[in-house]
Amino acid sequence: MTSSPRSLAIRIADLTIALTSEDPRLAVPPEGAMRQFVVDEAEPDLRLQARWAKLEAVSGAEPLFDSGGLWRLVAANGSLRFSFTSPPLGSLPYKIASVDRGLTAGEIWLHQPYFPSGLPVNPLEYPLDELLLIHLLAAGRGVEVHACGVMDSGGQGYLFAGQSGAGKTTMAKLWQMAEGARGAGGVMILSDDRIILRKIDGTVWMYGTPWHGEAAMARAARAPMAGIYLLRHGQSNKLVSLRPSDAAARLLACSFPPFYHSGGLDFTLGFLEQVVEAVPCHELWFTPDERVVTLVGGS
Amino acid sequence: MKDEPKKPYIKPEVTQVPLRPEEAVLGNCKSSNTGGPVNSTMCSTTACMTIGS
Repeated sequence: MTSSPRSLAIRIADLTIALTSEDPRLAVPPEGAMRQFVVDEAEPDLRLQARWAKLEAVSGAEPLFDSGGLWRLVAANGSLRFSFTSPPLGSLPYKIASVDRGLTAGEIWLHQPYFPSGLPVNPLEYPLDELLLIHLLAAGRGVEVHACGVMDSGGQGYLFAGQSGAGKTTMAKLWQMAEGARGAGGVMILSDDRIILRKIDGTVWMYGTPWHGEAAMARAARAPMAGIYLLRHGQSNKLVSLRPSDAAARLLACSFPPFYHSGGLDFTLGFLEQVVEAVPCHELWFTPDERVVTLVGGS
Repeated sequence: MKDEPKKPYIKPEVTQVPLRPEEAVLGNCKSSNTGGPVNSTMCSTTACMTIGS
């Protein structure tokens, strides 16, 4: 008996990935923060099919990048192949995602012997979902940054960027506390760890993503950007204006472009230049108290 | 046409910006160094992103 294909679609930063499988276990609705990014079947930007396979070590392909961790990227038969291995399992990939170079369609193959039978599996499991998004973005659409994104009660977006330990989750919590103390409400944390930037019709937008930080703050929403703040730990709260060139360099260091793809990197550099020209950029030295919210709100 | 005053010359500077490759390339789950079926319950999107900043 053959079951009907199952499908689901996720939409992040107005980019849609659709997943179809003959096996219902491979197209179950995702859990956690990703649930709010599930949409009804729409015309996707990237269409994927998932199926079980008996995978072998990737050979005869042109290596493009090795992350040094879970995944490698190779070129094979005109396609891009993301190969995922996990050291405790051995050298065989547990999953390969093959997509055309235009990033419009592809397949995900899961190595069946590695997966417990009968249990549902998310073929787009992290980091594949995020990798596909950053590749779609680098093809002229935008960039993902390591940042906390806050939309205030007036609908304005503030980006707080920094690497791990910079204070992104702390900043998100401070905004929530400050709003709670004022009784105003209406602040929305789009994410406490990953924000996608896109420029649409001349406006720079920041989008929430499902890839949150330790406070698990993630919203499927967007806001026009009013300010960019590069986070620094300080003894007091202080704003320092940044030249666009400095701001672009600092943002690049907090972004997730495909560093191994010259075209994607070229686009990302040019895009960040447009962003820092359009949005005021500051270095924000801060202590973990709510007065920093007033400082930013008044800037 | 009146000439625009020349902008003062600013000597170019090289500024080093630290990059963290291990963060930038999404090489690992944030909650574990393993991924895939060996810890599929740990490595769901939610669990993988539990150690943020």
